[in-house]
Order: sequence, then C-alpha cells, then structure tokens
Amino acid sequence: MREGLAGLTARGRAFVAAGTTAVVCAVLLGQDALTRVGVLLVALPLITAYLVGRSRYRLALVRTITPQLVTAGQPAQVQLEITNEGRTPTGVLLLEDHVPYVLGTRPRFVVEGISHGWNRAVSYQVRSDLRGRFEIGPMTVRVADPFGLVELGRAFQTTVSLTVTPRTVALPTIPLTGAWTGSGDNRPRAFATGSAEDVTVREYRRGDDLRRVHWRSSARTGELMVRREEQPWQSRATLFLDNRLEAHRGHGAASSLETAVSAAASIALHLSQRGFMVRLVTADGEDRNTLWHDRASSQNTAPLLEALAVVTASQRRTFETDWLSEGGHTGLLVAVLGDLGTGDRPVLTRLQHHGATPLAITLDVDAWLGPVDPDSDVASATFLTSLGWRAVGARPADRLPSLWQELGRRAGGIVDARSERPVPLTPPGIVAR
Amino acid sequence: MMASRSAPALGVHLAVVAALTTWITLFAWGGFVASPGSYLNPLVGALALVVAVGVLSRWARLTPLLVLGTQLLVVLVYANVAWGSSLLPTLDSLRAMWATFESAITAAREFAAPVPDNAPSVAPLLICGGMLCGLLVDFFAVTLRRVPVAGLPLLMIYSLPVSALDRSVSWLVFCLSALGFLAMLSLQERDRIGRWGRTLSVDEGDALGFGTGTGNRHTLAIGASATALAVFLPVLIPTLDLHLLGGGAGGLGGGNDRDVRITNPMTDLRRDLVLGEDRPLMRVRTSQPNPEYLHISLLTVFTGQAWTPGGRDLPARQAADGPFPEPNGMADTVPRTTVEWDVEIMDNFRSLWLPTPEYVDSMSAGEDWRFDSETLDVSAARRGIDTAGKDYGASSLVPQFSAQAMADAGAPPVDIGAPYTELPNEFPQSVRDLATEVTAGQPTDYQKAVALQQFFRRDGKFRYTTEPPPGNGVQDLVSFLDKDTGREGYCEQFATAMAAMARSIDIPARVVVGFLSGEQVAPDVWEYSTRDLHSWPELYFEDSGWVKFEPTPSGRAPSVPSYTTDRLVQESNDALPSTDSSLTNQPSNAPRPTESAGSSAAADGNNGQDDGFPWTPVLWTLGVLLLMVVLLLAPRFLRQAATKRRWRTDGDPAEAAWAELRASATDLGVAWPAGRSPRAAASLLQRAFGAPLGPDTPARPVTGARTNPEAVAALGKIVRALEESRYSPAATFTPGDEELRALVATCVAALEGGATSQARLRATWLPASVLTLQRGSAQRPTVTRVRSTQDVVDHVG
Repeated sequence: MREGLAGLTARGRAFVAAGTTAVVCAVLLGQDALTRVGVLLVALPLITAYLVGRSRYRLALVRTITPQLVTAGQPAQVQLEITNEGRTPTGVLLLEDHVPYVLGTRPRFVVEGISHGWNRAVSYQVRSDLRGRFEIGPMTVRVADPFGLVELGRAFQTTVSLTVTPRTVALPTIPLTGAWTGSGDNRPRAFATGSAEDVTVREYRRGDDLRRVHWRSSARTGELMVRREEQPWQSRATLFLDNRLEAHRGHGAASSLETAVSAAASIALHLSQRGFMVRLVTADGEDRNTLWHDRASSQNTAPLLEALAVVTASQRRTFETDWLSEGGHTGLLVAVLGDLGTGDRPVLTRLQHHGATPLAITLDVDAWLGPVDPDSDVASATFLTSLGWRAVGARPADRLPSLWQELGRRAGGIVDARSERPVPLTPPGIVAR
Repeated sequence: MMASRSAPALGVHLAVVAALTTWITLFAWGGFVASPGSYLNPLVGALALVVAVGVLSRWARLTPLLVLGTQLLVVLVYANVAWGSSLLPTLDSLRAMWATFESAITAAREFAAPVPDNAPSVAPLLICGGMLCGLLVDFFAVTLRRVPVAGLPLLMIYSLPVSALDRSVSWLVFCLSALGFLAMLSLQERDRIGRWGRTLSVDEGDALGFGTGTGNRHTLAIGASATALAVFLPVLIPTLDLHLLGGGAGGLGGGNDRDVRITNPMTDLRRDLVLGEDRPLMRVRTSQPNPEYLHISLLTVFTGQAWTPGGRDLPARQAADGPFPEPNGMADTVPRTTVEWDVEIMDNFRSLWLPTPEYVDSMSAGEDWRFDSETLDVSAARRGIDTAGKDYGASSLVPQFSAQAMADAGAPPVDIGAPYTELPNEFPQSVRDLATEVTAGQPTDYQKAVALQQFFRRDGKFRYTTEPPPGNGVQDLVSFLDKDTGREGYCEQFATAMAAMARSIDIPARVVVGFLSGEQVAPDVWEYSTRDLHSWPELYFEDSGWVKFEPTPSGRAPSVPSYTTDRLVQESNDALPSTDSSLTNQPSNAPRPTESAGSSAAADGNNGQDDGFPWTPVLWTLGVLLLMVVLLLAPRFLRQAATKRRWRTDGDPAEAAWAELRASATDLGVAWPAGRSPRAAASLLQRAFGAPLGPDTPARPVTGARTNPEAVAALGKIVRALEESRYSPAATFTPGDEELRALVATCVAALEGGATSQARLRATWLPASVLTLQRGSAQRPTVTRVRSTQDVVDHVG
C-alpha cells in the first residue's frame, strides 16, 4: 500500500487533493451530493494504489545480443526472453529497454494480463553509425493502472554491452619493412631444419598430434609437452594513434579524430591480415588489451577493433612515452597523427630512432574545419619527412587506399595508386566541413 | 497506416462515451421541470449532433480551437432550427429564437422548480445548457485528451440542482455518471498505453484488447468498488450542523458574491435574512425621521400551502411615474404629511418589486414600473428588468393614526372584507379556537388585534430564531403555534400567523414583505441591508385603511406602532386622550425602555442577527489565519522534530550525525552523493562548503573545500567516527553526542555559508528533507552493471 501510495501520479495526487477538499466542503456545508463526488475522487486512487502495490509479480529476463561486436552501420539483434515467475500482476506492465539513443528508439512493450509461467521471446534490432561501446539495458518495468492514477517503477539489473567498431576499408598490399629479421620477406616462416636441442616445447593442447609429444620434457615437467614446430618469431607492428584533443578539430562523427580512428582500424585490419601481430598505442600509452600476444592472425583483430571502438579524445598535451622504454621495441611502426607542434619533435625523433623507418599518415586537421587549398603540401607531413619518417598528408576528400599506396611509393614501391577503386576516407554520409 | 486509422476510431469511442455520460448526468436536472422528457429526449439528438460534428472536424484535422468553434456554431444552428422562425439563421429567425429564450428565462425566474408543464417551457434553456456542457466535455475529453478536466463540466451539471434547488441528485444518476466518467478515463489511458509500445499479450486474439483480459476485470473491479464506496460511505460521514456558528452554513453556502434576489418575496426572505454577512441593499435620502417599514411586496392570498402575492393588474396608466391614488380605505380625516424620498438601490439587489415607502403619495420610477390599484405595491411591468442599480424618487405619506378612530371603526366594506378574510378550507379549527381564546373579552376588532400582537410579542412566550425551515403553510402554522414543540420562528411565521389568526376572527389581513428600518449612515441618509428584511401583517380598519401591526418579538423588532399602545394609555388614564409623542417609541409591554430591551435581546444571543459586531466573519478569518500560520510553520517544526528524533534514538550517534548532515544538505539543495562511501560522499560534499555566514556574504558565495578549513576538519572527524562505528570491530574514536552535534553544526554552517540566500530561505521554510516523499528506492533501484551478461537470467518483482 505504501509503495502504491508513493507511486501516485500527478493525476492521482490531484484526485486525492480535489476529493479531500470536496469532502471537507461537503461536510461543512452539509451537502451529501458533493460528499459522493469527493469520496469517489479519493477512493479511486487509494483503491488503485492498494491493488497495484499489492500485486506480486516476478519477471525473469534473458537478454542475448548477436553479434556483440559489429561494425558501424551493421545491425545487431537483441533477443529478450521474458517469463512471469510470479502471480498475475494488477494493471498493465510497461517494459522499456534502455538503449542508448545512438542505437535507435528504445523498444517498449506492453504486457497485460499475464499468468504464472507466461513466456514470450521478442527481438529487436539495434544499429549504430557511431563506433563505441554501448550498454544495452537495464530494462525498466512500470506498473500502470487502468486509470492512470498510479505508476510504480522497478528495474531489472543486468546490462549487456555492444561494441560497435569503426568502419574499415580494404587496403592494397604495399611492401612493408619492420619485420623481425629485417629481410626482404616479412611473412612469418616455418622452422627451418634444426637440431632436437633447438626444439622449444609447450603444453599439450587438444588436437595436437601424438607424434609431436616431446617425451623428455613431459617426463621432466610431469605434464604432456609437445614440440613447437611453428615459427615462434613474429612479425610485429605497432599502430600509433594520436588521439590528443588538441591535435584534432571538429566534433562528433565529423571530427578529424573519427577519421583518424577509422584509418587506424583499416590499417590494423590490413596489417593483421598480412600476419603482423599488431598492438595499439595511443597518446595515453599502450592499450592493455592489444599487447603482443601469441594469437592467430584472424583472432587478433577483435581486441584491436574493440580497443579502437572505445578510443576517446585524450586531454594530454604530450604523448605518453613509457612504452618506448620497455626495451625490445622492434617492428613496424605505423602512426596516424593529427596536428603536430614543435613540442612533439623529441618524441617523434625518438620514435624514428627506435625502430625501422616509421610510416605515418598525418591529417591536415584544419581541413576538417573549413576548405583549404588542396594542392598545398600538408605541413605536418613535410615536418615528419624532415625527421626521417615516411609520411603522407591526408585531407577529408582523400581516399585511404590511395594514401596507403602513396606511402608504399614513398618507400620506393611500385604499385599504381589508381589501380583500385577509390574509397572515401571519411565515413559515407558525413560531410566534412 | 494501422495506427493512423485506429487513433480516430478510439476518438469515436471516447466521444460516444463522453456524450452518453453527459446525457446521463443531465438526468440530474430532472428536478427543474415537471416532465424531464421535455429536455432529455431532444438532447439525445442534440448531443449526437455535437459528437458527430466533433468527430468529423477532428477527422479533418482541424486545430482544437477550430473544432470547438465548429461545435459552437452547430449549437447555434441547432437552436435556430429548433426555436427560430426559419431554417436559415436570418436576423428575424435569431430574434424569434432569442424571444423563446427570454420567455424560458422568465419562466425559470418566475416559477419555482419544478416548472409545471402549462408554464412557458424552460426546455430551450435546459437543452442549450446541456448541449454546451456536452460540448465542453467533448472538447476537454476528446479534442484535448484531458479526461480529468472533462470532469469539471460534468460536476457543474451535477451540482447545479444541488446549489439551485438545494436538493440532492438521485444516487442512480450519480452511479451511472461516475461509471461513465471512469469509462472515459480508462479509455483514454488504454489509448495512451496503446501508443506507448507494442503489446505482448497472452495470445494473439487478445492483441486487439477485446478479450476477457484480466485488465478489463481489474478496471471494472476498481471502478465499481470506488463508485460503491462513493454511494455508501457518505451515509457514514456526518455533516456538521454549523448553524451553531450564527448562520454560518448559510453564509458559507451562499457565497459572498451572491446577489440578493427577490422574486418570490417570502421564500427569499429567510435566505437573505441569514446570509452570512450583512450587505447593504439600498439607500434612502430623506428628511423623514427614521423611515421604517418600507414595502417591497404584499402577500394577499393564503392558499393553505403558502402566502402568495396573488394577481396584479398593471395597465400602462398605472405607471409608477406620478401621483398615486389615496391609500385604500384611509379617510380624509386622518392627518398626514408628505416627505420627499430619494431612493438608490445597489447593484446586488435584484427584485421584481420596487421598494416603496409605507404609504406612497407619488413616485417617479419610470414607465416600466407599475402599481396595482388595490395593493399599491410596485412591480416590474416588463420582462428582463429588475431593481438592480435603480435610482428613483418618491413622496412618502406619513399618516397619524388614532387608536380611538380604529376602535370606533365600523365593519369593513365587502370588497375588502370578503377577499381579505378568506382562508383555505383545510384551515385548522385549533387555530381558530386559539385566536378566539386570545382575543376573548376584547370588544372591538382593534382591541382584538392589539391582543393578538401582545400574544405574539409577550404572552405566548414565543422565541425569535431563524432556525426553523421556511414555511408559512397550514402545517407550518399549526406547528408554529404548538405550545410545547413550537413557538419558535422568525418574522415570516409571526407575520403570517397573526394575519391568518386575524382572518379567522374576521379582521381583513394581509402580509407585507419589506425592510424594517435602516441604519443612519449620514445625516438624512439611511441604508438598508439584508438583515433589515422583514415581514409584518397589515390589518384593515374602516376609515384608517391598512395599518401595520408588529407581532415579531422585541428581539427583532424593538418597537411597535404607536397606535397599538395608545389604547393602553387611554385605558389606564382617560384623562390623556391624545397621543403622547414621548411614548411613541416605547414597546407595547416591555418593562424597560426600547434601547435596553433591544440590546439585551441581542446579547441574549438570538443568533446575533442584530448584533452590531460581526463575530462570525471575524472568527472565520481568525481561524483561516491560524490555519495558514500553522501550515506555514509546520514544515520547520517537522524538520526540528526529525532532528530531535535522530539524536534521541538509541542508535549510533555517528549515524545520527551523518543522517542529520544529509538532511541539512538536502534542505539546502546540495545534491547528496548517494551510494558512495562516507569518505567519498564527504569529499564531494565539502565542495559545497562556504565561509560561515556574515554580513558581507554575497548572494552567490564562493564554495569549495578551501573556503572553510574548519568545517572540512569537522567533516573529517564525523566521517572518521562513522567509519569506525561502521567498519571497525573496536572503535577508537568515539566522540560524544555533544561533540558530534557541534561538528555537525559547523558543517551545516559551512553548507549554509555556501548556499545562495534563496536556498537558505527554502531550507528554513520548506525543508526538502521532510517535504519530499522518499520514494527513490522504489522508483530507481541501484543498477549493478554487469558487463557482457549474455544469457544471464535477471529478475524483477
């Protein structure tokens, strides 16, 4: 009852107030006819509050999202399975799943007159044009009465997250350096022949050929060990993304940061497909989820894209360089950079010295604010080139594949830049201004 | 497509239910006319028309105001077709329609409810009123989708007979209209929910909402039980008898703005007499000393049910604009003087009769007011006019009656004697016997009349009170004269009883309704108010004409006409044959002088009618003021009580301090960080701190932890005490109650210092911590966000 009273709506409260006034006036004036009206107005919300507050329903909800990781613009299905495990509730249940507005309208359901054991599965679609991680849920339940006098709110507790990754484009193959060995071919290679002593072992996994069991090691460790026959060496690449707020221009989906993230995602995907172990480093430092691990190439992209999905603008003014001091940094360095200042020069120089010749796509961020002369050189690209980088400048109208090819050509590549269908650098539908 | 088609369909449902509800509620007006069918039957079609036009214009997607305008136009057209002279609303036709309305209004004004069938029909008025109410209901409920507001026009329909006829409406009508209103509410709510989201029903058949769903069952159960309660519960609710408060009920019920209407003089008399406040109704400027006993109307016919004015003959030559004929039966031998009067009537006094001096020599009130040659009272000759705001002049005739002349008077002429001694057949013998008994031993009609007056004023032990229900029929007469249970009443009963008893002993008598006496507000200016309304009998004596008597006790009418006391003087002392002017104002049989008798009677508490000091309004005003003060001070008292309760509880003082701090922050509008640890909450809270209040504190003080380091330290101590008491097995820091209070006071002072003056004011007068309902827990449970809880079963309920 108490809960029901607390849940009186404005209409319910107005009814109680008006009814009380009417009854008091009627008693003072001795008008029975008015008393009736007053009693009706008071009784209606009170009875409703009592009945609604008393109802004992218990709903169970199972929410499933497939897939949990989608590319921007791709739909995902949310499955809801609702079961009533309690008694029939009084009134109408209004269910509303709290979905971020970016994903579309909030799905709402009206449930009325359900008995014990009622079960229903419904599904709805969500779709986002913006990258990011979105929490779907919790679902709220409101009990409304047939007269709109009482509304009680309750909520489920669980939420499910949906990660929307940036859009990516396929990039042409260009010659890349930065492999472990620095030789011309940078594909991971199988073992060459070697003595048994060279063999490294690892724990037995299901599916390993029994002939590969390394009995001597197994005897020593007490567990089944097998010989590793695949290349333990990796081609490693570091993808460096400049996400400093002051290095970018524009807001939201039309900002240069979004372009940079999208380009970084395309490059990350491309490098992974070419067999690199890619780690993501932002201005805030190394991303914990994309450290170099021993993973198959195809599995490698999900954490990378997930990390890129949630990259936000950083308030830092300078790059975090702790990751540079962890010795052994080798491999290919590809950077996607925004506006560069003279303060960045030491870091950029250090990066250049740290490994092989780094590649950079640097955005002419002012072009995201307004039109610039398309024929002029991008200042930051020139700056990087002077530091010894291989850099190309990018503007909103440029296509990433051709830029990538341009980078290859800077490296003395041979592929024709126009051979592939141009793909816009900015996501479709967003006009850069 | 489905949605756009179904929305108007529901509008039709709602509109039909609304019209039906209106029609049912209109049964409440059945008491106004003898045959309710005369307006209810046409209203079926009329309301259907309003609904149809509403539905069509909404379907055409007109704006709400245009819908209303269209419907109003249709009402006008309907009225023209029904009561005009042609189908097209030409000027003549509209005029004819208006004439019908005027006659309906006049009929409503002249005939007491229920208006009989043979009277001019008031149905046009009721039909139009019903249509307009139906239109309002339709406008609010369907066009604006505000069903609760549509309850107001319905309430208007319902309460009209209650206020106008002072009579309740049948419970069945109430039940049906209440159910109709609830149906409207639930239809609208169903529509709202339908728009809110997709319905997941038990099975597909129910998706249309027409199944035997439990929802409908609940709706019916709630609506029916609330209606049943509304019908039966009022029986148990006592209605206070506020007559104890000096006619307070009338004062409350009447409303202070209500005009004083005199259409049926007698029935209006009591209502106006006991109206809550004494409002001036008219003013007279005259040099006549104490102009009293002003006539408004004369009641000449006693039907057995009531005294009524009887018929009036008002030809144009009898306009009250010039000299009047001689007062009926007054011989030239009666000495007389004339005095000029200037009468000014206030706007709130509406009467169909014009107040006149007791005897009129001439008047200048215009052609519209005419006198009846026999009664000489002046009434409106044209429909639609009343006395409100009227100014006119009159010449008052002041005769000097002689008791001796009346005592010597012969038998009245037949044309007076026959009609004015006529009594209904059922006139009880007991009253005749009483009249004979009272007047036994009196030789002349005049002495009999004086004996009757004395009987009412003194010998009969009558009591003046406005308590008894108004009535002057035979039954009322008998009960009024009953020695054991009756003998209580006011001027109406006294006047009619004396007139009836005089008639029963063959003295011609009639009853006058008018003003007793005014209050002198300026030299030669007299003001008459509601409390001065009075009623008295006039008896006919040959050669003197109609002369007044005063049977009402001295509590109300302190003095009696001088000629009724002359006789006593003459009887006791024959040596003084002439009238002694010094005795004219003395009450007939009062042992004390007039003034003291009057004031003592008033002090005796005859309902304070004549009491100069308006106790009732003063008491009410004081009561309301007191209530307002209590309401104003209640929040802060509640707040202080909450503080006391917190400290008094046996629980942990640290918790009490924390709760008190939280309440203070809430009062000042500082957002309390919910769901944080004490330390985190404190660190957020101290952002709102400011330097303690001083004379130079700005309206928006600077806030922050550094502004008041002392308070920050105090807050730290409170937090430490709280943490130790909550989490530590053996608390090492346990400050006493007093210390904690001081710490809290420091923090509260810092919070106040950081708050705007507006927030401080609100915290003092309307502390949010006691005024807001704490329903946050019910509305928003803490949501634990579990990442990636795919396929996890979650519960609510």
